Amino acid sequence: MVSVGVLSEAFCLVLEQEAGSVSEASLEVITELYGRVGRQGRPLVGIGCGEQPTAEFALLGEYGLDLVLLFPVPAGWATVLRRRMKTYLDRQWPPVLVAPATLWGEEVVLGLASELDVPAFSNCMQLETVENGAVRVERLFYEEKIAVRYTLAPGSPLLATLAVGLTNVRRRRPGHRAEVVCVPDTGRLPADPVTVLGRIKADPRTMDLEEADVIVCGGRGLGSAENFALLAKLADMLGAAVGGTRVARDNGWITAERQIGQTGKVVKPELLLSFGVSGATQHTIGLRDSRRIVAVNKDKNAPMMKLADVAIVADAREVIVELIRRLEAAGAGLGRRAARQN
Amino acid sequence: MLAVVLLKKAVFLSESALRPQPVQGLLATRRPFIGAHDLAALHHALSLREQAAVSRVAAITAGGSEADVILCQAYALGADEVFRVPWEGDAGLTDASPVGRVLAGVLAGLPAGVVFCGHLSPDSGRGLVPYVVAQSLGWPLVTRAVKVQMTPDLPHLRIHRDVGRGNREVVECPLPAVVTAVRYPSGWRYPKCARLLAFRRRNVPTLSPPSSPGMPSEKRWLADMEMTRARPRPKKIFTPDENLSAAERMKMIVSGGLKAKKGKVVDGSGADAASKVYEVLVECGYAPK
Amino acid sequence: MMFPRLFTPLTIKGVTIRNRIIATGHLTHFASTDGLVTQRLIDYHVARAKGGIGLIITESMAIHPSTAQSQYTIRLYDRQVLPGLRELTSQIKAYGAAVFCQLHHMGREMTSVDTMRPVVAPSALMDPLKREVPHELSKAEIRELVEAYATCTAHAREAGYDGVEVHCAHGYLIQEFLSPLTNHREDEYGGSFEGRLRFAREVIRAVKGAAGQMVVGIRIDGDEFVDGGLSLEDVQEIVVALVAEGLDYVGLSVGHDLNYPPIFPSMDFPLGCFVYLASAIKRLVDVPVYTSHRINDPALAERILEEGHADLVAMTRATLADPELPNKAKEGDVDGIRPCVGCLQRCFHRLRLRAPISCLGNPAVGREREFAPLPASQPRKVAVVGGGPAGLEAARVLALRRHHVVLFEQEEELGGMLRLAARVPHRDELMGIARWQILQLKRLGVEVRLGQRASAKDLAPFDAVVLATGAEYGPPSLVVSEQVPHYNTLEALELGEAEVAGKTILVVDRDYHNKALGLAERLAQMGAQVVVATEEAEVGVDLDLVNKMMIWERLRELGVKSISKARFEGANGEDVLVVHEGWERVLRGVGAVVVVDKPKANTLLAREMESQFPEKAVYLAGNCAAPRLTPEAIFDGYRIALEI
Repeated sequence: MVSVGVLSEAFCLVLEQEAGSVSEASLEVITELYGRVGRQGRPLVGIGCGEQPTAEFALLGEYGLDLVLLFPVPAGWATVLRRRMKTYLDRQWPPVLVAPATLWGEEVVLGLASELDVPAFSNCMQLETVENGAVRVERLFYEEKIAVRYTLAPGSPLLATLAVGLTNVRRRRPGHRAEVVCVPDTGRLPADPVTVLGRIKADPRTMDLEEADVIVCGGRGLGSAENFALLAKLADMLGAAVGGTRVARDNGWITAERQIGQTGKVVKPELLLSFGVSGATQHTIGLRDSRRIVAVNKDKNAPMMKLADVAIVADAREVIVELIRRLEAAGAGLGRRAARQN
Repeated sequence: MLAVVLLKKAVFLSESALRPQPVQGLLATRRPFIGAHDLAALHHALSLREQAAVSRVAAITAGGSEADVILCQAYALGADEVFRVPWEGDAGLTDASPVGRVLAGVLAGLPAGVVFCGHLSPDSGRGLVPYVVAQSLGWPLVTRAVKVQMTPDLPHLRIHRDVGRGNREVVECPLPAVVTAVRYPSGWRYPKCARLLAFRRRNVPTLSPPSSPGMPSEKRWLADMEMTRARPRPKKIFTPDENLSAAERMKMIVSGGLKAKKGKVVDGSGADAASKVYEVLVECGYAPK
Repeated sequence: MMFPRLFTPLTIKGVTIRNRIIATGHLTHFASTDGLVTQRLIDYHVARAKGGIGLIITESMAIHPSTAQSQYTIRLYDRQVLPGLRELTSQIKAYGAAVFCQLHHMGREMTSVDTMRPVVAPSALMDPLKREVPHELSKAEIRELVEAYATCTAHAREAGYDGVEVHCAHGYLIQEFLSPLTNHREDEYGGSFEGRLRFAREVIRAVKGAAGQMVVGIRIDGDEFVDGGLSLEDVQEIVVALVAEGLDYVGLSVGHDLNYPPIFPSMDFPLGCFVYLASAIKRLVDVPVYTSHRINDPALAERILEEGHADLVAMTRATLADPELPNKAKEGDVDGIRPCVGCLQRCFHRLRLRAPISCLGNPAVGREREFAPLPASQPRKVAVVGGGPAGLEAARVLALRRHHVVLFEQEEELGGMLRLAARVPHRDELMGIARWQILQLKRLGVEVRLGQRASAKDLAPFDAVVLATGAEYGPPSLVVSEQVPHYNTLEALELGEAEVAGKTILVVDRDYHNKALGLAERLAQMGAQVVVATEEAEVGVDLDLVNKMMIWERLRELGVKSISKARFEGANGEDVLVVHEGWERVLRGVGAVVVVDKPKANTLLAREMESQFPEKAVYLAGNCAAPRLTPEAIFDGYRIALEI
């Protein structure tokens, strides 16, 4: 059992939450820190947003967290979280407080640093503890040409964000569970003067495929440029981006920057609809991280079908035509408008 | 109302790939320039002036007289006034937070309604200064602006923020406020030759904070600072789990880390199959019921 | 520029490599049996240097009389090779590429056939591939070998090399010392980590001592992929220790005698699948690191550099397939690059056959002089009949030589047999070569008449005719049981899931290459119980070792069984009696038999032409001349196109 009292010697990290779960970037930071902390024997504490001690937070123990502190703040409200953290941690400030170098992590850490008047180091490449227990961070300067290593003086707190996309996430302690503690609500905070009016979704037709949330992807099975035009129409109605395989590119059905695969773009959409794609490894490795895949293909044994959450054995063109008809019946282009507004 | 743009004298190191140099040699090649984010900040301020939302635009930089180059560019691009805040320290490497406080002290003495600055500088990119400025002035901070407009009725700014993956968030912010910019919305501004020449005839006025409390350097928190040639870390890459046996590792590599999913397999005609796809779309919220 | 990082020069210890594309040391069998450099070897490397490659590491060279990879290994210990090597290095450097020399001792992973001496190794443990028990090196012999490395380094220096690479990979002598699996010594050269590292250290010190201004690097396996062997973490430790000795670069590789396929990864391996090994080393060391294995596309190479996994990218087989790859990539002509599809049929397999290397897609490998496609002195009208690999290649090279070419194809799609070959699992990349040929035909403006079956009359107006009409599968050459349906290869490919699932299917291999195994995999994936039988000593007997090992691994998982040396001695309805080396076995409930025969040449049109236009210049290319494999078809097409 770890108690909240360990905070004064703990490594703390601010967890980023995306769509209700802890983001990959946060897991990377846990993995990165666990390797360092493991040697020093210091506990690793995560700071998250939530009302209930859910199992998901306890499961972070597998990656190396010992304790999770949950603040009753809606996920994504960096300003509120950092005010709550400041009140709560004032008595026992942790020697190390880091976050993933994302929009969220930056707002929490840099905001805290400016309020506390301590230095903050954003986008650090590395964090390590040296012989005498002092903490050292490494940052790159001058367009990544020069590295500066800062060793903190004893007693100085470290606030930093760690660069993401560098560490392979690992479950180093299978079966281990973190203790989850809910921090009580400490009363009302003054209202944030900045009001959020809404969000505008990126235009899928022009955005980088790597950033798209929904992708419709076509391959050899679609067979012609006309069918790709249909695919583009479907994409437009769904607010999706169009991607394709190498065959599609060779035939001029898509342009090079729309090719998915190892020699094209590596994508990670929430939903990928794949039409007439057989699934050569070169292509499928490029969509390994898609959350949900629906594949439509005539050949049931195509490798793509084995990677799909829903595999549909049918003629791709027919399915596209039918889908367009249904979407039109449900209100033409509604999907797109809905996407723009939410 | 005055819009102030904080410009950083960013440093560019010019090195030939054929002749790599040690750190000191590399640092000797530094040249000052304005970073892309700072240019975007200047652009936002100037476009507010063009919309008649602010009357004047002042550009401020911190540094010695060598930083005048930056102000010259800002002047040529259209800033009405330029000021330099004398500063000796190295803002990039250690003193982001003291320089932020000094700038805030100067700003407090100006009739500034809105302060723009670049989100990150291209050379150090710590991004701390806008936070410190906003905190010291007690003003709200809006980061990563890509589009800034004045609302017609209230003295509020309506700002589009880049929140990643190409998405934008629209916020409204009362004035005075600090806004950081990430990129140029569209178009391009060119420095005007006449203004470049006019700048030469001017003395750059300097501004100091009314009471100079002697900002303590960030170095007091540091035990040591060491500079080396950077060795960028490789990005993460698919690596088979080291706990697996050799044969299992090999199998993971051959499969490309792709695992066959035990997904539903549905046979069907066009209409039939389409309804299955449609179900998924509804489930994920991309199509109406 | 499309690939800015790929074409940023890199300087290693004063040697400037003009771009990041390199060729690793690879045996070519172009040297003479005396281990001397030949003009053919020089031409081969010069073609690559002309093609714009940054660095060539020439083939692994023997450092001592106790080692030889084959009869055609260059004997660096022998001063006789130096004049030839000097010519080789100066010619490569004349075209702007840097050139390194690979110092190599095979250890136990060789046969004494090539040296007529006992095979040597750190411990007297039999090599599982070559099945020879080596002589355990004495300390005096170890000292002799260390000196041999130094002597050969001096020879390399004399021969004008820019650097030397100590080969510590692929289970050869140095790796045998490093790995606890192969080093069971009890003296100071074995046991602990330090002990096992001692030989490598001594060698590198000796090489550094003799290298002078030359670059010194190593190539090492990133993971042994054998339980109990060196893991990635062990290799990280080893590399850090060796870099401390003053290495100037580190190259990563993978595969050795206990886990053979990754040495020469076939198309079963995803592109760039071993880059992570280099990435793991790159995190730890300051010296440049190169990665290799299945990197065949400049876009992939650029991505590897962009993500910082390596500083140099080895594209050895890719530059074998297309020596002009670097130049084409620099100009952004990506579609013009002939791809390496990882088939292994003519690079790796020909080495195993003790023949000089060639390439499935590039017949000019090793024939750079005589196979240069020079423009024809008299452009002629040429018809090519058949759009398979042979016809496509003939049409491509003819058009390149400025002949006026018309290609007839009776189907609606080009590709011929390759289209069939690509339909079995894990072979889809084979189509890549046809894809490239088709793209070239489009660029060269060749007139392609699809869906048109050419008759002798259609061909009459042409000055010359290349027939590439392919081959056909006749009725099965064997009937196992009268009551069971028999299919030939083509019919078996068309079998649907409904006809196959749950059935026991006997596949008889009379083709001896990949086809029976590939079909077996396809049928097993569709849910059939598959037994592969052959009269030969093993199924797929002519298939190269790597592909064979990889497909058997998959077939085993699918529950496919095999019977070699099989004689079919009778059948009773669905029960088939098979005899294997005297053992009798009844296969019960055989629902279908697939007989994979060699196809029969389709010579109909050739005979028609002979009877109607005996004077006309008619050439036969590919399977219609004699049924063989894709590389021969492409070779035929290329050769004939040069003859017209």
